[in-house]
Amino acid sequence: MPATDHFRWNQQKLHAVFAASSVVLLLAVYAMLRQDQADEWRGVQRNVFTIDAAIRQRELQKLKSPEYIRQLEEVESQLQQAATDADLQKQAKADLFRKLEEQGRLVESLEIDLKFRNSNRDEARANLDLAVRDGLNDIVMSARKAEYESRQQLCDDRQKELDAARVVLQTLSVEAKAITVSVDELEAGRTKLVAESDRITALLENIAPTDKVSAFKRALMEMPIIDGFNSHLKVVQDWLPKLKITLGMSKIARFDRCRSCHQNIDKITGSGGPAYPPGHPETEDVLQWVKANQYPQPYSTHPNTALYCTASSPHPVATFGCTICHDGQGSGTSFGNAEHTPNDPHIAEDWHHEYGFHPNHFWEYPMQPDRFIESTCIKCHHNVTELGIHPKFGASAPKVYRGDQLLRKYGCYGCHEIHGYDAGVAIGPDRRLEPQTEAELAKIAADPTQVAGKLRKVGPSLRHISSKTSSEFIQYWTEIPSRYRPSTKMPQFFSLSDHLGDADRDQTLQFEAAELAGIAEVLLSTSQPIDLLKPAEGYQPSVERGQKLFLERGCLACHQHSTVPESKQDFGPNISDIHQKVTRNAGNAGFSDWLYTWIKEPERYHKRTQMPNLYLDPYKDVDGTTVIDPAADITAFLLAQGEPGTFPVREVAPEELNKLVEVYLKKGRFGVVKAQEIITSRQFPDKLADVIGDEAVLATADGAPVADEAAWHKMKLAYVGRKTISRYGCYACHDMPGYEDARPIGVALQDWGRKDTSKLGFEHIREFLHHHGEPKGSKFSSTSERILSAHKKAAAGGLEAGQFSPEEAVSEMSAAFFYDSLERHGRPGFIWQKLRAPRSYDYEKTETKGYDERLRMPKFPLKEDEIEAIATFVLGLVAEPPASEYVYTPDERQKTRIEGEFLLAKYNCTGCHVVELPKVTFAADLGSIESTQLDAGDHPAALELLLKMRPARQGLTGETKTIKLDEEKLKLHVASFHGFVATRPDPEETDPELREYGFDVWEPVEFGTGDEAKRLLPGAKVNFPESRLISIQDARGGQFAEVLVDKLLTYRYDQRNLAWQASPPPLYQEGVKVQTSWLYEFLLEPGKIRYTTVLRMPKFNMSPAEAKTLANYFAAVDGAEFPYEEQAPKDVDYIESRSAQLTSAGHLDLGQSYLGHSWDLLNGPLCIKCHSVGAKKFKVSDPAKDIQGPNLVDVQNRLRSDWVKLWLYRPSWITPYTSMPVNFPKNAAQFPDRFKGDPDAHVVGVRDALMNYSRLLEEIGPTVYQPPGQPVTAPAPAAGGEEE
Amino acid sequence: MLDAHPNLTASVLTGLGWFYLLMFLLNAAWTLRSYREDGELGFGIPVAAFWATLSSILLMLSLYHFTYPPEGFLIELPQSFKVTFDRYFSNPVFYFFLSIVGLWAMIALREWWTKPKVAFALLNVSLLFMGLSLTDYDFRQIVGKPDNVPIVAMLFIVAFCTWIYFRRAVDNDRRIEEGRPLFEQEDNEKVLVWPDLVYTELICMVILTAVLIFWGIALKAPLEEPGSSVKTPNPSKAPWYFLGLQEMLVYFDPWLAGVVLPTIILGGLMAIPYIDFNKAGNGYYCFKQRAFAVTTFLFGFLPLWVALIVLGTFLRGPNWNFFGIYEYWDVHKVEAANNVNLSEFFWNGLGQGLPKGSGIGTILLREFPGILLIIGYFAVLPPIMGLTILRTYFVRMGVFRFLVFSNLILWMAILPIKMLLRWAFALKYIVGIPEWFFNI
Repeated sequence: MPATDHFRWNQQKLHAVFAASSVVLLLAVYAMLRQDQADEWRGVQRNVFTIDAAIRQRELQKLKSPEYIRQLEEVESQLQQAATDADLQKQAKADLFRKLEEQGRLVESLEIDLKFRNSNRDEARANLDLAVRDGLNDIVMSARKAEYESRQQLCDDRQKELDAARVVLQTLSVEAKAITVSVDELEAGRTKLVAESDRITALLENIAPTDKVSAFKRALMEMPIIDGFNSHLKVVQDWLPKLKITLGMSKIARFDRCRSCHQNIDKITGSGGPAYPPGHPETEDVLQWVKANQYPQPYSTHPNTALYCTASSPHPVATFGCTICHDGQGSGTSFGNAEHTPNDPHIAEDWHHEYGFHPNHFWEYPMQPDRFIESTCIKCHHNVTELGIHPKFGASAPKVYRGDQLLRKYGCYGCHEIHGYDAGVAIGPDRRLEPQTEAELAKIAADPTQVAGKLRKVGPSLRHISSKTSSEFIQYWTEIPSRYRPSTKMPQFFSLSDHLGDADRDQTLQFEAAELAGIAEVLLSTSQPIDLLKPAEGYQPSVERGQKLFLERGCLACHQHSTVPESKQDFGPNISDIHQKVTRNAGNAGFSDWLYTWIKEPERYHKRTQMPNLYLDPYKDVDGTTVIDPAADITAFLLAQGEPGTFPVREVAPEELNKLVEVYLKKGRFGVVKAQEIITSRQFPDKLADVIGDEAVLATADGAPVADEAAWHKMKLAYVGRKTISRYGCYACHDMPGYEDARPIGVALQDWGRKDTSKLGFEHIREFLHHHGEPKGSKFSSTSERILSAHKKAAAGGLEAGQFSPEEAVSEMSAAFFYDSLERHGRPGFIWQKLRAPRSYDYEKTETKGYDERLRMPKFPLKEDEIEAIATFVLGLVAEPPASEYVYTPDERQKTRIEGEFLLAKYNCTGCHVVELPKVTFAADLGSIESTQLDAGDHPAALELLLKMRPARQGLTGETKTIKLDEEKLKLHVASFHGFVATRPDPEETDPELREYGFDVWEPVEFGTGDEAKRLLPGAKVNFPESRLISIQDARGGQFAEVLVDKLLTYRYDQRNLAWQASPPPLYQEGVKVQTSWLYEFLLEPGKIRYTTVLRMPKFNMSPAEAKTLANYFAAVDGAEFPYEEQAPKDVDYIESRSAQLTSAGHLDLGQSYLGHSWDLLNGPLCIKCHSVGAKKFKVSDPAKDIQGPNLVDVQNRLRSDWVKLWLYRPSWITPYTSMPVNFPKNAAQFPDRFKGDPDAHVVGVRDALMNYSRLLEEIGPTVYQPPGQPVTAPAPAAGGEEE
Repeated sequence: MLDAHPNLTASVLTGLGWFYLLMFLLNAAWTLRSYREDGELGFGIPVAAFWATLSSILLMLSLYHFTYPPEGFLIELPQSFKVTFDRYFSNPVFYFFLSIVGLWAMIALREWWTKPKVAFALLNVSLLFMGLSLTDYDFRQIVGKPDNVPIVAMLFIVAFCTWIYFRRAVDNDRRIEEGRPLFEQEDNEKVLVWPDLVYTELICMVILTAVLIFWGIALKAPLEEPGSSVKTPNPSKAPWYFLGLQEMLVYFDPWLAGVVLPTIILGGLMAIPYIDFNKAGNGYYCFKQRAFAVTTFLFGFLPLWVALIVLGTFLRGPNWNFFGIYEYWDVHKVEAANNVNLSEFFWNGLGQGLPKGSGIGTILLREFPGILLIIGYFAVLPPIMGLTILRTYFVRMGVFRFLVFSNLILWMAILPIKMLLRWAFALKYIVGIPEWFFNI
């Protein structure tokens, strides 16, 4: 059919439809562009420009002070004047400039002409050269030569003219300059004056142009499409090709666009502070932020610019980006796409309303919420230690550090391997058990890709347990450890049946009774015999003496005991109740050979114990006859605290035991029928020799039935016990015979932080928490109710509205966060509940699974904040190390520090020793502080040496504090120093100004700089009223020493100094004091140094490698040389030059021996007062007062020579509490016949004699030296001497 | 606040407000049309009054949604309804039978439902059902997923296209019966290329572009986690247009469902012009003249293709389990799926157990009942059919064409047959030779 010739549609209508659809398309395009332009980051960047403009304006405002304006006006008026003056000389100036111009043109034309002539000359010269080369005839040659010469002449003529013209030009220029010089100078002055203002104005003009054209251009650059061509609004991108991110299976370079919004994150001021200090201004008005100098996110600078983002920090943003630490989606440019993560659900609500936030579970790396931000640190900081202890940055990531400490304390790694290496490559923190057998150790040593674990099992050895305690105690203890010892770190495996139904719970308790009895049966039946030590025959231990020795000999450095409540050490267990559990001697209930052996020689019972040997050897009392056995006395004291305990245990029902045996036999290779047959017939189907595995305990050697029901019962118990031990992995913490090769039973954690959440068994946890989940006595019936209440309170205003106490605000919102995570099947929620109530994931699941398939994780005595710390650590275990250059690799010194800190914690060195002194911070009235003055006896060289060894620290913090005094406000500097409290305010004093603190300063410290500075030297006393005190930061370590000092003052000494001399010394600046090699030997085999102390350095269960590290550690911390250092005075060259020096100064006659004279000094009547010296024994003249100093023979190997020198100059500058006097004051010539009586030379001489002690004793031998004249008396305090 | 899966939220209510507002506008326009065209209900009340009432109810509904807070909001699908619906109507058997019954009803009731009034009423019912269902969190999750929105649209588009076909076909069938000229003859659709064709095409292009842009702005590309070869998403779904094929994988071995059947579908579609001997119905809509062809096509297209896409999109969840439309997609849901091969039925039925061994003879002996059945199905059935129920076809087509035709029909039938066998007898394979990767 032919087409009709009329239109099917009405054309007018069609046009209208077309027009309408075009408009719709236009609208669509507009909507699209608008959508694009509405990107959040554009708005942020506009705000950033507004802020910057406001800041620039403010700077300009500040700059334009009245003084500045006056100066500017002055310069302007001078300029005006100069211009007027110039006007007057207008004609002359014009003439001059015209001449100058003409002359310039002349010079120019001459120069051009000269160029032409030169090139003509060059041509002629070349022609001449060609003629020579080609051997042309003479005529041609001479013609060419003549041509060259004539042209050269033309050049020379022109050159002359040019030179002359230049001279004229020069003269004219000088004249012209003279006329304009004053104006130029004024102009320069003005430029200098306005340079800063011009700079700021230019910056301002750049971001907020006042010029219409510039403003238009700037607006144009923000238009859609045009903004793609280097607009000022643009996505800022950090490209990090080496910090790869794993997406799916492939690793790709990281692109962080975070700075598109966080533009100021790395901006600092000239002085290093944040240029945009972070804060939480309540107003939305950006100008108010500028006014208050407080900026909210994303406008603020990073809160810690010393550590992050800035170019001078260890983590500059251009190198590290953002997401390597924060996680999140770096490529995202909107709030949601960046995958921000709220710190609690209440913030999530706020964000939802503000930014349309919702969690996106598809992105595998959501940003770390604030609470977990530290977890990513351990991606690169595998040691973790430097995150908690660092000389420059202090505790930069305390939470993850704490998590690591807790993990180590509770020995999580026993069950959950945290392997820090993958095929020899470090992937994260390495927390593994050390090899348990020689064979394993050898295997690892033979494989270069293997690194051995380093951590010991945290529990005590059970290898010889039958000598220590009873079956009842084992059962009672294992069931609920905290029932016996509330502070224990042993977790609870049994009686965790709150989540079970009634019938199930009864059944479980029955089974558990059998399991507990089984464990005890296995432990006792496999326990290996041990030779226990005994005190000497007939020794009568004294409880009273024991109590004193218990205090003095250092037990309290690790343990707590109820008799000394002020000691709070918890490195070892609280042993107040040890008398209840240990096996006492048969026939002598007042004594326990086991306890005696353990105290005296811990290694005998447990080869890898951390308990050191305290050298509790028998000694003779002061009367010289009574023998005292301290270990026996302490044993008696501990046992005298009470009667042996009685420990009720659950009865094992035989039928329940049978049921349990059946469960396990079924699990093995037996069916129900066979299992029951074995149980009832008391006969295992195989002979003992043919059985491997736990079933062996049921088999008999000949395969015959067990005749005796009681024996069969025991065998069944042993079977159940072995199964239970394997199931719960008891060997993860305890050394147990037969389980040396057993593997960890838990999930490996090295990549748990990335574990696929679909592999986590959440089971019915939601239902559980809806009905249960809170401990008994809680005000909430369920966790769900608790969280609902937290939400309501947060919605009602939270902390600000007084709904929460500050602690609650943290704990409840933290719980709400974890609960929310659990609801969304997140890892944090899982681990939180797993540590809170590990078995709760079995809620309503036990009905459908076998008894032996139930969850095994025990409940640890953790608080919720501890759980959060552990979660922070575990979530950081991602096994995704970045490129090696990003992984923190400490230098030798720092590495030694880190390893040393590890050992310091491992051996609890800080239990006895102060390693960092208390830091006192106070509001200082600088006017009233008096600098320490050198007295007449002090050598200037001594001060120099002191400041070289311990440079003075700046005590002013730069802050100020306002103190109210008698209604008057005083603005004082905040200052700090390191030292000990000497006196505390009298508690009865009520006048605040008289409530004074007194301190002993232990370091050289300066308050202020330059001549005004006040300087305190060690030993100085500082007193101020309590109201000025800001804080006393506790010493690191040494709590035992402090307790001991206080205790000794109650019965042994009346002076604090003497008590300190009897206690473990602070290891303050130990590195510059002792020789590293000596310390190494000392740590392995500690000898007796001091005679004043009541206890000795114990011998630790330490390997030579560990001792080496620890010895190096002290040197590393104090910046001293290690592992080798030169002791100059032992050097022959030194002795010769010193000798020559003294000879030329006339202090020594030619031919006299320098060392010989020095030896005389040492053997003179001074040192012998306190020390044995030169083969002469120290003699006690007054036993009440005289105290023997350390043996001087050790000095040469033990101490560093500079330190000895300073010590001889002025001991109290090193140890303020020492009794050692200043022996060679500058103002007294003690030995006038030696070195002409020069005290300075005496000090050096004695030092050199000490450093060559053995040699001199060998070469010269015992010497008696008595100086002429008066008998020498050392200045007070002469009695005693703590150090050499 | 604590409920991670809230049924009603403020934003849902606002969205539903808009939904009902649009329904109101639609019905208001319909009321206008009804007022002009429909007669009276009786007592002088125009039919339009009914639509006006409905429209006003919808307007109130809309306003209620806009103004009322989620707490205490009354209009929500009752839990009991959802549970009942999910329990009884949410299983693949019911779903498949429903699609067959629907197809039958569509054909049988074509006179009735092609009336605009009825169609509009049905549209209203379906929209209302959707609106009410959207108050359920899980329904919203799956229907509102930006990926799935086009599938929802497809439901309505397919319905509309089918409706157009039936309306035209019913009209033409009547015209043929009454001896009137066909609609296509009366309403000559031949038009000028310019402006009638190209101009309208241009307008369509513009509108479609605009729609796509608005769509792109409103529903962002639904990005999921980065692809990984070791971690597949659960459920792992084929592109929407292949979900029918994926559904077949439940019943067939991959080589059949993924290779043989698609090849036959493509080959079969290409063969249609050569098989079709019916000259009637060329160039115009009709049903009666091509009842067999249309029914066969609709059976293959609607229940076996579109319905399976819908099934795959909305009703197959984690682990490819079947989920009711109001059911939470719980990865922990387990369905008992223990199926048995025909050979096991046969040999165990005889009480003598499967022949043991791995030799060719043993395998063939073991599977001989299934092999016989398959051979019988494809070799014996066509001649029987040709001699009995399809005798007229056989006569008009000739041997070769008939064999191709009958085989294609049998291949199409094999899917529902296998589904039925699976549901009725938990039959796994008719022929199960895993040794050779040959399972039917």
